[in-house]
Order: sequence, then structure tokens, then C-alpha cells
Amino acid sequence: MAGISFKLRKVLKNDTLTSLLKVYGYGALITAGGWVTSILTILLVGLIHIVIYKNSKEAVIFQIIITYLISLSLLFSSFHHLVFTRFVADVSYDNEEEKIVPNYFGVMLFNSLIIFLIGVGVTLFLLEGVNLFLKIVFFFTFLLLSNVWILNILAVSIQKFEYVTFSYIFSYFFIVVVSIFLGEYGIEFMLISFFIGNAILFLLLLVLVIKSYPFKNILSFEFLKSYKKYKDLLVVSFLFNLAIWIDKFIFWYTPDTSEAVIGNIRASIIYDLPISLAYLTVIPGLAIFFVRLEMDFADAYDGYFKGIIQGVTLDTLLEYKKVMVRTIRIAIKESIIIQGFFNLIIILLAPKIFDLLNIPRLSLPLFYIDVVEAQLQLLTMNLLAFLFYLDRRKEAFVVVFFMFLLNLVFTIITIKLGPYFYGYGAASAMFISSIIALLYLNRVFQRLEYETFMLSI
Amino acid sequence: MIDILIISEGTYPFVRGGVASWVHQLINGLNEFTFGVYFIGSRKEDYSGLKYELPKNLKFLKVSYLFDNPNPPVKNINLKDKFFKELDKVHKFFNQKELFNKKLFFDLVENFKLEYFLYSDTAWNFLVKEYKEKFSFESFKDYFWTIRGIHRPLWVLFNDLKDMPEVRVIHSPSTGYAGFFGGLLKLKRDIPYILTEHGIYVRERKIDLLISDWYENIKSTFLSQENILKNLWYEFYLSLGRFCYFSADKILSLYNRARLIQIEYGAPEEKTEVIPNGVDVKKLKGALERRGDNIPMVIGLIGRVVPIKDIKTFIKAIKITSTKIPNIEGWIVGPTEEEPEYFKECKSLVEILGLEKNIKFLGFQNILDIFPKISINTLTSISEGMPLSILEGFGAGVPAVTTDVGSCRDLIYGGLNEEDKRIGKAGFVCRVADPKDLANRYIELLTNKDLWKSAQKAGLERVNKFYTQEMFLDNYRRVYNEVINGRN
Repeated sequence: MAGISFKLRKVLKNDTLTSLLKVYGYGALITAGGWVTSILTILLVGLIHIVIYKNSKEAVIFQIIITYLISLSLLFSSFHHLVFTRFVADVSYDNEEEKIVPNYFGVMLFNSLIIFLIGVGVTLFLLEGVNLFLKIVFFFTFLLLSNVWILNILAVSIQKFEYVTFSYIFSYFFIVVVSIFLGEYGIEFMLISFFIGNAILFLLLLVLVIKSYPFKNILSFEFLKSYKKYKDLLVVSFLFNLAIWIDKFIFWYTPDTSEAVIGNIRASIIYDLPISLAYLTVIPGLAIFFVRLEMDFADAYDGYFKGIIQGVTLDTLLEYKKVMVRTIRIAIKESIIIQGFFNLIIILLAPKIFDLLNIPRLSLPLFYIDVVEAQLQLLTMNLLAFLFYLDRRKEAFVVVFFMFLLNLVFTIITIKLGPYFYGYGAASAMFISSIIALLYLNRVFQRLEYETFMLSI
Repeated sequence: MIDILIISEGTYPFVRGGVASWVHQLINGLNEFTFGVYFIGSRKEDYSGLKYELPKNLKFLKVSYLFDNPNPPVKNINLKDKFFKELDKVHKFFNQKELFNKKLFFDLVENFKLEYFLYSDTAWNFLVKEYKEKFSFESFKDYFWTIRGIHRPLWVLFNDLKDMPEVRVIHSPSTGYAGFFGGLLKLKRDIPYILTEHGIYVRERKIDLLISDWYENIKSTFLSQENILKNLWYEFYLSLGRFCYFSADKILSLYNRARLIQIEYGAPEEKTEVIPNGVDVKKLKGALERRGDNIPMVIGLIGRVVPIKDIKTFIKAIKITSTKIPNIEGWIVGPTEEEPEYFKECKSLVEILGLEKNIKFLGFQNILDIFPKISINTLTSISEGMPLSILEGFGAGVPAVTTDVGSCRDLIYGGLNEEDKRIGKAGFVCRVADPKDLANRYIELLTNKDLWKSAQKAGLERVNKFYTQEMFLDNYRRVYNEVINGRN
């Protein structure tokens, strides 16, 4: 992601408000990207079905199936996200960009193999008793989505933001339109439209990647060496995604808080919608943070290490470090302020929005705590990003591990304690995780020179 | 039990040269003693095997390399500043600010492992403290890596202490890392330690450091910064030298001027003594007898092709000489592999000056074959101690023309005492890096047969009277017995 700041800066050079918004917009797109678009689409499609077909039951089932597809495909392809990014970064640094495409195909093959095996099991379990047609469509969508996430990483690194934005908008627009026509034929066809839309997205992004990177071979498995080297990152990415979804999984499979939807797919009416909406609210904070990370922190970080290479005095080096710390403070402060401002609006407008979406006002308290949880999750993700930037993989692992463990344990406890406590489990887990991340970050900065000079190879 | 353990830094038995020959001579000549050699080299690949046939009374040989050992695996070592105070005290001792504390010192030698030095918080904090006190305006990165580079080899030495056999006497022919090791072993086992300095280590290293500037692209704006860090090296060598003088029982040198310099650098006068080198005059007489009647127009330089020998000045001097003596030949008799870059430059110079027919690089040769064929034995070095090759030349009847370095003046004009002076001039002494001065003397000697004959006579007389191998060996026999028996 290192070079992205350059492109962003070019946009910012225009120095107008629109260019600023553009930059933040791209930022949001890049980080939230597929995940946000998917959720938006789900809501949009669902809305259309409620409005046009007044068949809210099928729309809801469709939405829930998509949610499962997204969460599980993300989860089981998450292994690749951090490590493949690292591989691409290392290879770019060594000026060996012709390795990227063949290794991407290698990763895709590798991933597809794993997903194929897992997918069969997942499909058969989740859609037990459901017709074969739906099972097949579900299975292939699962396979496709997992590859879209990996391709997304690569596509974003190319920095042709307009093209990527366009690809997403076009594909999802396609899904919405097609589902309007096919929707009356049932869930299977809604799912097919989702599949085709994502297939189009996949192809569009693939074209971008193949056109942007030179390559001689078609297939390479060299990435496996990186995977071996960075195996801790494999665990970290998996745990991270698991940590984010575990509270939902628990709510879905606790009989008291959930109901069967189709096959073994379950949903939690009380829990799901408030939290999906809550996640949408953190987009501004996410965008701001991303820009600050990629531009200001990246600059300060570069400055510090350039200083070392140039041979500055220790005092000067400590000054550079102060600049780094300052950019982190600013990034967090800014995202909190903007996000806080946004939250205020949300809180004021929430009752009206809920009415519009036919959600019972009873869910409002849960929504509020979910908003808090989403912010804290955002904060933890921010701090993790800094830890990754500084290559502190062990510390990142600990944070992510606690994210998962605490979310798991606290969620179970809150379920036992009753509805008033729902949401507080995830929120507390994120709160504690962010504190851990903060303490680590603090320690890393205190020891930065010591570790840079003495402990790096 | 070995009688004498010799600590050889980059010389005997894997490198040919003055000091190495000296060690070889010592071990072979004093065969009533058993010897051991601890060779300290730079890297394994820098050496190509034994250069001397190991004598029968050499019963122990250990080889270590200072720059070859890999770092232990990187790991976070949190000592919570343990050893900090000891480091400070011992460091202050080496900087002449504290007295020696044997217990503290060996506590560090034995327990402060290399990985502590490389990775611990204590080492970091100490390094930063020193930096802030004395070097806060210097580049931290350069300071950090210089300190590491200087100190890291010490751990090879600390580690080898336990591998040394039982010995009666430690003898080091130099200060530096070898001398330091000698001191370590002496203090640990409380056995006698003799130091013989052939050149003044610190001065030679200073010259090395200065010369290395000439061959680097000089970054003029940063020159002062580089000097400060080169000072670090120099100060380090100085402190190693002081430690040697502190721990040695006897501090020997080859000529009086050297002894005075030692005292200047901190050697206690009562420990110092001069024992000159000696050569095998009987063997050299054979070379003398193989001479023809005429004076061949050949000047020989017996020495390694390295910058400190200033071969380039010799080449220039031959050029100037060739204007008066067109068929003059200059033979450079010594290994050329030590500094390939410098050798290349010398060859280029020969080409540029059109001396391909005059200058010959003969590599390592048996000097007994060379001496009969040359008329002048020359050295154009920037620094020398007591060059054996000059004495050997005298023994084979070859006068010497050298630069005025080390003991050359004493050897050529006579400097031991009045009797030595009366023997007369065995050649000439010239200004350093002055090819014209050298050329004038070459021409003078080669064109004046009477002058040449009297120089030959003086050289022969001087070497037979004061610089024989027997005298050299007798002296060391006496010194060894003194320290061994002095203990009983």
C-alpha cells in the first residue's frame, strides 16, 4: 500500500474541497471496499424487493444468505490477505513485478482448492434439506467471492481508483437491476444475479491486473515461500476476521437469540440489522484514518528511516520519531472528532431511519451500543495498522488473539445475562483490545531506536 | 605443558614477512624449549595455507579468525541494566580514569556474552550514554557500527581463553588484539608475559587508517566526521597498547628509539629492554661467496607489495636512475597477493613510466639466490621496525639504501654505540617518499666502485659484530629463563 499515498497526493494537489472529499472517498473505498459495497448492495436489493415485490420474506432470506456468503468467504480466504500483500510488497521492492501475476494465479488455484474442500462441507451443512439448485449456486458463489477478495487486494495496489470504483459500482448496479427482473422467480435466481454481478466484477478487476503488471509465466508457486516465512501473518489474518464475526456467529447459533432461516442457516433478528447499520456509520472515520496513515504516517516513517541511513545525530532521530508519534495522534484524534460529529447526526436521525427501514425502535439501544462497538473496532483496526506498518507481528497477533477470545467469551456471557446486555460483549472486547494495542504501540515507540539498531537483521 | 605460547596476529605461520620469519627463527633456534602458537587471523579466506615448515618443538597450534564468526541469533535480551556498572568501571579503566579491578574485569570477560553486547538493553544504554557524553554531534549510525566493529572481535579472544594449554610463558610480538589476549591470559593465570614490539602497532594502524583515506573517494564535506570515527579506532588501539604495557612483565623492542617511543606511550621504563634482531651469518656467507667480481646494475627490494612499503616510490626512483643508468634493473621480491588493488596500480605505474624492461616483480623468492645477483638492497617503506632483510643483505655483502624509518639509520650508519659508529656507513639513508634522493644514492653507489666496496665491508662487519642470530637467541634464552626461574 506504500505507493498509494503518491497517487492520493496528486489528487490533493488540486487543493479544493472536492479534491479533499475525493481523497477521503478513495480512502474509504480502498479500506472498506468490497465489504461496504456488499453490505450496501444487500440493503439496497432487500429494499427494492420490499418495495417492488412486497415479498419481504424472500428478500430477507436472500440478504441473510449473502451475509453468510460474505462472512464465510472472507473468513476462509483471509489467510491470504496479509501474506499475499506482503509478498507483493516484497516483490515490488525487489523490482521483480513480473512475479506478481503468475503468483496471483497460483494463490487463486491454491485458495480455490481449499475453498472447494471447505465449501462442500459448508454448503451441505448450511443448506441441509434445501434443493440442489440453490446448493450449487451457493457453492459457486462462495468459491467466486473468496477469489474476489484476494483479487481486490491486488487491484487496489495498482492505484487506478476510478477504474476500481467504476467496476464495483457497475457490477453491483448490475446485481440490483438483474435481481429486479429475476427476483420473481425465487431466491435461487436472486443469488444467480449476485453471482453474475460478482463474476463481472472479478473479470473487470482481472483485466486491470493483467494489463498493469508485466508477466512471462502464467503460473508460479513461489509465493509459498513467503507463506512459510510469514506464517504468523496467516494466523493473524484468520484470527482477525474470526474476531470480527464471532459475536454474530454466536448470536446466530444460540437458540434463544436466533431463528432458522433456511436449511441450517440462522439469523438473529434482534442482533443483525442494528449491527450492520452500525458498521456503515464508521465509514468516515475509516476514510480519514486511512488517508492519514498512507500519507502523513508513511512520510514520517520514511523520514525516520532515511534519517538513520543518512547518519543523523541521535537527537535529530528522536525528533523524527516525535513527528511519527504526532501523526498517529492526529490520525486518531481526527477520526474520533469527525466520527464523533457523524455519530451525533446518526443518533439524532436514528429513530427516523429505523422507522423508514421498518426496524422496531426497541432495537435502538442495541444500535447505539453497536455504534460504540464499531468505533472501538475501528480504533483497534487503526492501531493494528500501525503495528503492521512497524512490522510488529508478534504484538499484532496478541491483539488479534484477545479480540477473538474476549469477543467470544463476553458475547456468551451477555447472552446469558439477557437482552439488555446484548452488544456490550463485543464492545468490551474491542475496548480491551484497543487498550492492549495502545500499550504495545507505546512500548514499540519507546524502544524504536534500540530495536532498529540492535535487534533488526 | 608448553614452555612458551606465542600470540601471532596475522603473521606466523600463515603469512610470510619480517615478524613471521622472526618467530620461525626464534622457535627453531631455541629448540630446548617447547613452543605453542595461537594464530589470530582476520578471515579464513584471507590465508592460503602454511607458509613455514612447522618446527618439531612447536607442540601446539590454535587458529582463530576475528571476523569470521557469525552473530548469535537475534533475540530480545532484557538484562534490566545488569552489568551496566561493571561495564562503566572497566571502560573507565581502559580510558585511564579508574584503577584495574581484576574481579570485575573477569566477571565481564566470562559472563558478558557476545549476545549481550549485540542485543541487550544494558549494551544499548551504555552505548547511548557514551555517545551522549562524547559524540553527540556525530552520526549516530556511524558511531554505532564503528563501536560494534571495534569491540566485536574481543569475544573471539574471550572465548579462546579456555582453549589455551598449560604454559609457562606468554610471548606476544605485537600489541593490538594479540597483545591484549596475552594480557588477558597473563592476568587470568598469573604467569609471566613478555611483549616484543616490532613496529609500534598504533602508529602502523594510524598509517593504515590515513592510507585508507587516500584510496577512498574523499567525501570532503564529511572528512572531519570520518576523522572523528577513525579516531575511535585509534583510541581503541591505544588503550589496547596501554593494557599490554600494564600487564606485561617485560616490554622488549628492537632498537633504542623504539624503546623511547614505548615509554612515551606509557610503558614503565623498568620493564623495557632492547633486544635487536639477528641473522644467520653462516648461511649468508655462502651467498656472499657466490657473488661475481663486478657490480651488477640490479637493485633489489625485498618486501611485500603493500602500501606501507611504498613500492611506487621505488618504481619512480628506478625511472630517475634509468636516465643515468639505462640498463638499471629493479627487482621487487615479495608476495603480491596481499593487496591486489595496490599491485595493479604499481603495474600500471611501471607501464606508464615505460619501465617494463627494468622492473621485475619476482614474487616470493629464496633470498640466498637473490642477494648474489643484486648490488643494492633497498627499502622505500613509510614505516619499518628493524628490517631483517637489511641485516641479511649485509651478511650477504649487499649494501643498503633505505628511507629514514625505524632503525634503518642505526643499521646503516651505526647507532648502537661508538664502536658501531666507527665501523662506518653501510649504505645511505634517504628522505621518505623522495624518489630523487633515492635515485641519487643508487647512482652514487653503483658508479663508484670504492664507495660500494667500503659500504659492503661496513655492512659485513656490523652484522657479524652486533646482529648475529646467536646473539639474538642468547638474549631470548636469557630472558625466558629469567622469567621462568624468577617465578620459582
